[in-house]
Amino acid sequence: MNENLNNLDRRLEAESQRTVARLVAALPDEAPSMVWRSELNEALLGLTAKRNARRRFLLIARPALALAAMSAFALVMFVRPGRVEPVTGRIQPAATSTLEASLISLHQDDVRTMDVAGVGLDPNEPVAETASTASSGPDDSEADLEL
Amino acid sequence: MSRSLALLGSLVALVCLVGSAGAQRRDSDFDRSWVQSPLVPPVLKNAIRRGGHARYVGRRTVEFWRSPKDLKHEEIVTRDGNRSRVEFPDGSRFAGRIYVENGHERREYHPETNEIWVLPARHEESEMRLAHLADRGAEGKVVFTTAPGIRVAGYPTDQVVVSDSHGNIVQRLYIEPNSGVLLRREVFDPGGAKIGMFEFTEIDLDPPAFDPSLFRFDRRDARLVTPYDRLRELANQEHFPALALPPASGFRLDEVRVARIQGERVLVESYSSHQGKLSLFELKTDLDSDRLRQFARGTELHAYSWRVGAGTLVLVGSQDSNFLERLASAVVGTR
Repeated sequence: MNENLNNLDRRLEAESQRTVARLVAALPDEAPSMVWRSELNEALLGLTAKRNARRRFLLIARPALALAAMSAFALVMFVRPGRVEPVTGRIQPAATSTLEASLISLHQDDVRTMDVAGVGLDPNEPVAETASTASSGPDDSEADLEL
Repeated sequence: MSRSLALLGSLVALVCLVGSAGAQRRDSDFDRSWVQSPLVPPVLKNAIRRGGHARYVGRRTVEFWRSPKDLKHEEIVTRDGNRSRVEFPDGSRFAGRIYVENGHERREYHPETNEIWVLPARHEESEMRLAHLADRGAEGKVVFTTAPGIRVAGYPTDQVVVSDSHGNIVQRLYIEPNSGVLLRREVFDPGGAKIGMFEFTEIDLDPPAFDPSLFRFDRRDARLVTPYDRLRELANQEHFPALALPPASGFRLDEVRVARIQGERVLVESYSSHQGKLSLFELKTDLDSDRLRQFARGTELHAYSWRVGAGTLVLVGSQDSNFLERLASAVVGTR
């Protein structure tokens, strides 16, 4: 161990090593200038300010957005619009959204219905249950006799 | 005095109307455009010619896609020319009802209320509508194409596809070529959705002679109800004036109901005649008559509206506007 250390010392004291050491010592000291340092600090301060402002904004915006999303969800799921009263016996397509158009459409539907019904059951008739079905099956009479 | 004048005015209007009815196409005439037209397929012409004389007994399934719950049911149909009988199988929600037609009137027995509804016969109107359809084909308003049909109730059929001038299918008819009987029919709305159909599942096209009593219905304890009775009941219940076209107008009141349209309760009266179907609507509010005419114009229909007190009456039909305007003066109270 001592022998290795002595070898290492001798090699470090060699002329070539001393030459390199002198060269390195002679290199100029490249410490940043104060002006540069000052500009850097100012730039960093600006970035920090922006980051902080953004953090403050997100601190408020994220919970607000979450609240808005939850409120919209709750509105859709739990708040019922005014009761929609369908015309009994038919579904109104969007194109007949006015009273006038609906009357025309209803007449047309009645004509088409009779093409199917012929001499049989007219689906516009009240669907009160007959005696044979009164005790079985759902009671449709109220919904349809509302006509 | 004013009431007498109003009645006199209505009578005069009625006379003019009946006189002008000859100017409208008479659906019962067979000297019509479809008879010679090459645009109408022979199988359809055969169905129209022979339809009035068909004899059969069968079971058919009828389905409507009109309401939130589909209305599908079965009917047992017996037909002998212009006479018919319709019953419903055991277990049907309509079991016990019996509908008979003797060529002049229709009687519907409703056991749930022990009532016999006396109505205009529908059979002739059904045939007239088929002839109307053929007329429209001859005039180029609809297009007929034929194709092999499917087997229905064991019989081969010829298919007639009815399309509008833009190629949208409005109906499919499956006709047994020898008898001309319509075994299956599908009806579509303007968007191409099927809104109704019927199909025979069993049928005997050569039945034995029927007992004439099959096409009559009398029951001593049953209450006879006419559509005008029903109109008075509903009008009283819903606080509408009981206004209607009298039978002398040539339009027979077929059906009365109250419908809820765009939030408004509307009294709907459906009439049938040789000149086609007609609807009379009673509203408790006003409506835009220009918009009404505009919507009707796009559909080959005509509409006429007028105020009566605080409400509005509207006539809608395939008859021309001048005719509807004259018809409006014939509407009278039924009380």
